[in-house]
Amino acid sequence: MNRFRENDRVRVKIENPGSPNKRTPSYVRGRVGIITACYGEVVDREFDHDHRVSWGPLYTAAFESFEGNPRSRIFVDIHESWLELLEIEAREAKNSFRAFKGIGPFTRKDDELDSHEQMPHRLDVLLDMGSSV
Amino acid sequence: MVTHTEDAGAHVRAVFEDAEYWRTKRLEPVLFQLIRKGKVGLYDLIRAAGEESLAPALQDPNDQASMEESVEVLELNLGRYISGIEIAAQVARDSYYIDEQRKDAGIYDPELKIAHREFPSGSGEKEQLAAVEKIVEEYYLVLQAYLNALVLRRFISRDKLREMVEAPVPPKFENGAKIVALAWTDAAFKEKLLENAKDAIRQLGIATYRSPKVVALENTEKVHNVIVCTLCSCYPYAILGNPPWWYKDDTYKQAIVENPRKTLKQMFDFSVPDDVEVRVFDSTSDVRYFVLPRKPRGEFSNGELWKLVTPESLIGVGEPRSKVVSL
Repeated sequence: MNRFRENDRVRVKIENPGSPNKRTPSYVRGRVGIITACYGEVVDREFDHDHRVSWGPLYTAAFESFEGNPRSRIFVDIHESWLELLEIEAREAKNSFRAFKGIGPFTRKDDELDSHEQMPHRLDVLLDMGSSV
Repeated sequence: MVTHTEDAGAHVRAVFEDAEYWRTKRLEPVLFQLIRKGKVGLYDLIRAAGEESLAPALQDPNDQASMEESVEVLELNLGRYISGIEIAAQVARDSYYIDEQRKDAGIYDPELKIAHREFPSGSGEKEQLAAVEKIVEEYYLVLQAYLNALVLRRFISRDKLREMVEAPVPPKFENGAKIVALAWTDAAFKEKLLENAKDAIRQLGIATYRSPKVVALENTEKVHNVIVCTLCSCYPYAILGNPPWWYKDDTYKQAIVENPRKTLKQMFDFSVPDDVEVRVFDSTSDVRYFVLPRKPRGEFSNGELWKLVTPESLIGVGEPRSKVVSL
């Protein structure tokens, strides 16, 4: 069961002792991002390197880029145990914002893949939300 | 303008880093584990080293060759080393466990960490090239003995292993070019590709094994996608073959994260307009990305479209060609 949903604002933990998974790059640790995709648990026994055992649900999160240009972002794949929900109420606020904007709820299931391109600009959604709420 | 892709010195370093990665993460941890479990003995390795090698010989460096030609040979030899390691892993896979392999590589425990060699520094490019050639040659000796030892210990028959070693490596960059060209001309395929790339690609008869999740990132008028793997060199290998050498180079990894637009311009002479959003995807886990570039303007026959696609455009550091060139 995925703890987070698309559009959730999350903070990446700085450390995550106890997790066998170290594959969270240092440059996003401690930073706030927006979930843009939920993949669920990934287990692939054909894969002979990682993930013959589950590391927990996997997400893609978007972060502002370091070049300080709002028109560039970095997307990183992070496992659930590395993430903390930043604003629980953000979910409800976003849902009402979506209804307001007529975007509609996402019907995508977690284990289905989708083009990131078809998703709205997450950071933009939040920024807009700030000004319209 | 000399772009990063033409920097022979950086290419040599990238080959070295790659060889180190394969030795310390993929070969030695497995081999040590087999030794600890008594599945292969050190004496087997010594005995096997004296026998005729099943792995193909490395290509000899040519003293008269240019730097670029020599680096190409080096890259080819690295490729033989890597495919040999992959074959060995496949043959021995029931005798070791991946979780333990990660432990064995010292990923969790510094005491068990396999030491990395330092890049031969302090000399000129030619000397560094010669030093890396020698390193790859040394590493290959171990691989050759290891493969022979697997036969000695009856993991596999000599003939079967020879067959595996001599089989051509199927995944090639052309797969990716053809996937992209089809998406340019077939809207239904494109929709499927963007929805579930793994299934769409599988339906074309292209194997997608060892790619847990595959995502195609579509470039549009408003969005330009770039891929990177900052932690290692994740790439849809099974589908697209090996990425270009610079993809595995730390210079690229660091720069594209820190400053995507500037890096695209400086390393690849590629400008992204200010009103286009740049999205850098760092494949830190099990999603393998590739970029679906925009179709170049102009009239092309369906048969030649795929020739416009470049490895750079699949990574997002360049556009497809604007005219067909003979390949």
